Amino acid sequence: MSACSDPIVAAMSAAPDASQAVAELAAQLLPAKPGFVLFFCSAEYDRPALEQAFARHFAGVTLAGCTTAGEITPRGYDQGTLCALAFSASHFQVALACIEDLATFDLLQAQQLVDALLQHRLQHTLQDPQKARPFVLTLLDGLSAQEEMVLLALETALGNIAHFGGSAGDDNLLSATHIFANGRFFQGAAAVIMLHTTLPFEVFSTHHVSALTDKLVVTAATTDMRTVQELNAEPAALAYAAAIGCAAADLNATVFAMHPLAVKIGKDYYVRSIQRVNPDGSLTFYCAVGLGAVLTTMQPQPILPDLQQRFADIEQRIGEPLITIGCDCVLRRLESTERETLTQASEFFRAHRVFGFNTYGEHFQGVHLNQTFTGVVIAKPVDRAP
Amino acid sequence: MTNTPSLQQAGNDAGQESVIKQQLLALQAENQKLRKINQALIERVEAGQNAVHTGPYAAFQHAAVLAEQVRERTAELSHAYDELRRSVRYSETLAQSERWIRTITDHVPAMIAYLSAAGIYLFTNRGYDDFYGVPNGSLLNQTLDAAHGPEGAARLAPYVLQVLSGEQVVFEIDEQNAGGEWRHLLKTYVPHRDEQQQISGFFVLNRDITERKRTSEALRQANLHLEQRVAERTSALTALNQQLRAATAAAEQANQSKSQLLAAVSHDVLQPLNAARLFNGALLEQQLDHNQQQLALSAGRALDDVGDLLRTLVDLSKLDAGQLLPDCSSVALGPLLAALASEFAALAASKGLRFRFIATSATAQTDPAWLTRILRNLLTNALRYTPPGGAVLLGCRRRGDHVEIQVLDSGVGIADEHLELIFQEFQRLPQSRATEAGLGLGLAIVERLCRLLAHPLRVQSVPDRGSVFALQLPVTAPEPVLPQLMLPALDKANASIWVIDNDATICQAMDTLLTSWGYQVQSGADAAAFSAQAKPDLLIVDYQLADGLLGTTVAQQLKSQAGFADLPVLMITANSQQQLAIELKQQGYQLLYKPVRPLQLKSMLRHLLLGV
Repeated sequence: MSACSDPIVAAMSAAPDASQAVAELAAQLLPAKPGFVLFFCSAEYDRPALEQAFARHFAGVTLAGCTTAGEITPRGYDQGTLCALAFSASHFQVALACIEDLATFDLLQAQQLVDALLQHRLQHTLQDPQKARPFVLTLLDGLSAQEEMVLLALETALGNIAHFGGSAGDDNLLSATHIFANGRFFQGAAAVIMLHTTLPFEVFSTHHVSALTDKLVVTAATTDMRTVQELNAEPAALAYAAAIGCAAADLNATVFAMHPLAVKIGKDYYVRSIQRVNPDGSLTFYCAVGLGAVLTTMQPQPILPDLQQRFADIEQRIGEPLITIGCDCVLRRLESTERETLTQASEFFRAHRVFGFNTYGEHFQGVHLNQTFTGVVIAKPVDRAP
Repeated sequence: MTNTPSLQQAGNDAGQESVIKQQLLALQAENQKLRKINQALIERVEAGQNAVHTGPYAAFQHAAVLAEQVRERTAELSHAYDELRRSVRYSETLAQSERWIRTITDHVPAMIAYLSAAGIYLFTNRGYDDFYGVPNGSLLNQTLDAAHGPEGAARLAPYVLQVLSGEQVVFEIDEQNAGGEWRHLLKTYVPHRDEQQQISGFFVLNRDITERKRTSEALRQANLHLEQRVAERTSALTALNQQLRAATAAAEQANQSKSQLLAAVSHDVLQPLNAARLFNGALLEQQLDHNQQQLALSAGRALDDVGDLLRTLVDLSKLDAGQLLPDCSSVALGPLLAALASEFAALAASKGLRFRFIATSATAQTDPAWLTRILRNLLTNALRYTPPGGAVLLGCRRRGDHVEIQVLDSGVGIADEHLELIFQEFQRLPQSRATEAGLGLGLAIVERLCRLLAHPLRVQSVPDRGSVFALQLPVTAPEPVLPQLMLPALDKANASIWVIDNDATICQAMDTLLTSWGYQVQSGADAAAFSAQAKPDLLIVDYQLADGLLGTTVAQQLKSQAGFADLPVLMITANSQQQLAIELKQQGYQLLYKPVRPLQLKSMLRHLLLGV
């Protein structure tokens, strides 16, 4: 009964069977009569089975989602689950667009896409549309290596509209990530979701790293493939290992998480996370790294204090939070695992009603980021009519 | 291109050459790396300056730059928004508190303003605006001239200078209000210091103290007036006091004169009067023809009157001075009244009046001598004021535990308005003046005696019909009545009497009188000089002898002689003090007051010599 008036309802299923998981979600979410459902699913799920189940249980409901490198569910950090958020039509006007071919996506398409999203908004269902403000959520194929180009085009078209998002993951398998939109999973695609709401919200991104002194200049790179062959004119893996004081043979995802590299643009450092070490001693990144980029060795600070501070600031600005959709870099999760603070982080997420997934990259205002926590905090209505 | 080394001296020092070669190679490698880094950086910089879509990293860079710009702009906006919101809130708060301040200050019954250091109004409350008759708030940003006019502002200028020098100024000044009425204002200027302790303006607090001033002026006037009245009253009282003092002094003087007069009467007048009476008594004992006899009797009566009058005067003064006190006892009224009745019946008959007496058996608590005197006075008056043919009655009537002795007459009566007067000295009623002589002392003494005896005196009178004088006496248990004998004729003579008086005239008069009554008399100032020293039957001695010698001393000396102890002594004195009478009685002496009436003396002698 009360679910009818809840703007957002969160649900999850740990059932490994796709059909069962979706059925469980449906049981939890459908009573709220959602206008839109956003889900994050483990890459382990049988995607065609999910597609069928969604089609069966959520007919008539707009759905969007992606595979993950881990979910943030009502239980906190989670894995192998299906997690979903149902948005009530009375509080959220949702428009969804799918970019099926990221490689050819250009500014013109971006413009058309944003126009369509804004057009859709006119068929509003909101109680008080004049007071609604929009934000855009992007879900992108995390292995497409198209984030920068697509996001720049989108950002240009979106103008001042707040934007955040995450790149889909596949539990660090790095084989295939998928985006769900328009009833099916895509590879090399993106879902662009525009939400208008009267609820207060704030889109944000935060990281917890500070600069060290070593500088590594990319002297050879295959930019399109996000692969760096040389740093400081030396084999990239060797140069990186030397800079962080680690044997090249010991490099792995956790080391990458604990010893990030970042480029400085303007006043800010942007972490460029290493995805893997290639057999030829080159490094493949989660994001674009170009020739001549100057990478600075970074030192992560404790994750939670930074998060707590950010949340406190935001809550102070927009009021008591209702829910937070979080795109949490997979490397942060690795880092927390390494530091054994995963439980505390889960506790924090539960306390602040954070839901989301672990990404292969985060999007914030058109910028492709790594090793950040990026998302939106949606607060409780301020002027709810009695 | 030129990085291939030429090895010219290969054969010289193979080892050293090898080291140098290695160093050279390392340097060359380092150089190569640096060149590469340099090239990469140059490419990056150039790519950064080129068009946007040159590749994903450039796109990222571009997006990051854009995002940062947006963030900065957003932060600026947000900051500006926050500032705006804060300032809005602050101004709302300010507005709220200003509304409060305004509400409060507008209702404070004072004029409040704030002026900047430049003398510009920055705040005025309603009271301030209303006083100067300007629309509310219209003085803001105006100078003092706007409210006070140039002249008024000029008058205030010194105070403004003072407050702007950092001093609080309080002063009073007259100003015209909106209605043109001059009001008296109490102004307070308080300097306002900013955080740097600079004077940034001053607070003005004006209070209209016109009414207060008026009130205090009125009070001051009232005080002045009061003081004046007090002064007047004081001087009046002082004058009155002085008069009173003078009057008191005069009264004291008069009293003193009276006392002196009375003393003179007592000692100087009574003495010759006493002699005159005694001589007259002696004269009547002589063989006189009828005419001479009448003349002597008349002279005797006149002397008696004078004596009575003087004695009454002395008594009055003594009664007034509290020197006489009644000696009360249970007295059988019957004999006392009967004696008086017989005395006055004869007098009444001689005046052609009927006299009636109603006998009584009552006894009452009273002083018989005083009562006798009272009744004698009343009866005398009744006879005096009743024309021939009238009637006088003496009687008693029991009223509960009182007995009322009444003296009634059918005389001229007394008008109501005169009833109060009759008891005052020297008051005689008009109609009596023509008929009888008298000094009018009778009723005055009656009134005093009755008062001292606590015998209420009642007067009822109807003019031309008559009067009733009635006095009430408390009744006591009747005592056995002893038969009171009339004085028998003096036949037992030959008794021996010594008369001691320093006044030769008295001695001679007594000698003559007593001898005429058949007594053996020796008289003089000193008994030692008497020819016969045998014990006399009676000693008559004056209480006050010459040179302070007292009669009692003389009597004592004589009685101390052998056989003289039981000598009866009759003390003659003009001193009618109660205390003396008591003392003399205690010593066993009899007492007669001057002037001694022969009849009195005769009665006393009979009492002492014959035991009657």
